[in-house]
Amino acid sequence: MLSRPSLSSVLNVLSRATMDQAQAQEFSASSARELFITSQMLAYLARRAEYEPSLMAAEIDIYEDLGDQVLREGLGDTDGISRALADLRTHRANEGGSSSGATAYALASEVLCLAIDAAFSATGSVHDAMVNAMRVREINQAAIVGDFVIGGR
Amino acid sequence: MELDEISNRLTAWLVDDRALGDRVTNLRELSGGFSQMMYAFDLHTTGAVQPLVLRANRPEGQSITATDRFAEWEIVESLSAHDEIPIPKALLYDDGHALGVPCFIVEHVDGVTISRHFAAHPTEKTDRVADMLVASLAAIHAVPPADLPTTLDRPTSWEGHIDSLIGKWRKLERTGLEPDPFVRYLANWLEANKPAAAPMRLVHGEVNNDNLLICPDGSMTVVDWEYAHIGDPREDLGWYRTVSASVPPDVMADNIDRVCERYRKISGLDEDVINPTSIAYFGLLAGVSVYDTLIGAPATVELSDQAPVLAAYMSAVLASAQLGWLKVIDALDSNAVTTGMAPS
Repeated sequence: MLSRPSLSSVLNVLSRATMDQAQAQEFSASSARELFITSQMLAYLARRAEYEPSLMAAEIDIYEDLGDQVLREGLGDTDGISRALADLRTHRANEGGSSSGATAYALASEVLCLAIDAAFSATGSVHDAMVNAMRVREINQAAIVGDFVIGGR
Repeated sequence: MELDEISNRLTAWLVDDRALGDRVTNLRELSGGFSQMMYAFDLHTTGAVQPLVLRANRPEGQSITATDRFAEWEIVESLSAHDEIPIPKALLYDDGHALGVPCFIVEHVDGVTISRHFAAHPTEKTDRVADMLVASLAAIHAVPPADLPTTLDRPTSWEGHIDSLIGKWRKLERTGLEPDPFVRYLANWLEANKPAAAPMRLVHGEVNNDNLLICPDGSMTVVDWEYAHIGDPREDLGWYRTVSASVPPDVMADNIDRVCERYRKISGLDEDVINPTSIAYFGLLAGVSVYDTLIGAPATVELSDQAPVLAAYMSAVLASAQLGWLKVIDALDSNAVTTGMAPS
């Protein structure tokens, strides 16, 4: 999933843009397009707000386990993975064990990135675990993307 | 900038400064063109009306891309000398003196985009348009590199070009606000699955249904050349398929074997180079130019509530695109692409 830009920053942009259109002197083709994509974004943000926190928490645990597994196998950039795991755990400790929030998710995603580099060309359980982690991320992101379609031109 | 101001500035430029006509009328914004501003207008001369199109950078702070208008102009101008290239002919460039932003003017082409054509004719078969697309792309890809602007980068080897594109994926991924495992996975996959090499050619770089116009005489015109470069010609074929999965129709989907056969016949390239699998590979690889646009959007939104709505929108487009990339990889890994299925 993409936890950035933050929900509040996107809503601020959409709020300002909607107000701009409400105050516009004339309604143009670009006005119609802007309102169309604003409506799409509001639906997208609603899904993010509802699903993201719990999905991110579940993913973080999976990525942490994967990082440990890659380390045990001694694959890839082990120093980098050790540091990334330490950063994640330090952050979670400082947050009282919390697995929510964009920062924890970003730190866990970095663990997954390093695990992908390490395990992509490997075989066996580590490769399978990496593929499974990607599959979970894909399924969760599909839930967020929902019926969003590129359009408005 | 309001329409009246643009019209006044165009008049000052074209009529007062350049004496190319008597007056400018009928200025209207064209839909499409997420990245640049596009306006159609009429330039009146004695006894004649010339329909034209203005293509200009968006003002600073409103742009979501940072492509070079002069570089695009140089390519459009050089291709205008080739009658066989389906492109609106170049007329005039300005570096910012006329409108305050770099811009150029080309002839207006009377046509409708593939998107709108099939929206109006939803039951029409796609094979005729697919043939037109293949012929157009083959013509573009046949332009001798020596005829192109000397400022255009020329890759020294195919392998180096492919590696540089994969490297660009990796480098861009590091510039985002958060790590992106989808892109990391994609980069690893691209490195492990390189197809046979092809000769380096002019590549349009953004072939999609909104940049392809079907004209009343049955010809096709290709617009928006801001991403043009020298590269592998399959970048255009592949990117068209990838982006058409999100912005349909994919006119190649039902005709992929025919598309490959016709392209091979026109270009002289072999089947190990032009085939559905290699085209799908390049659909992924070539997406890096659009990723370049998308990756900066979240930061733009977080930096200012004055950011364009398009920047916020691009974050959702990126999330959707990532899912599309994985589906293409799945299809390629399971050899499903060779059956001609659309990558979606």
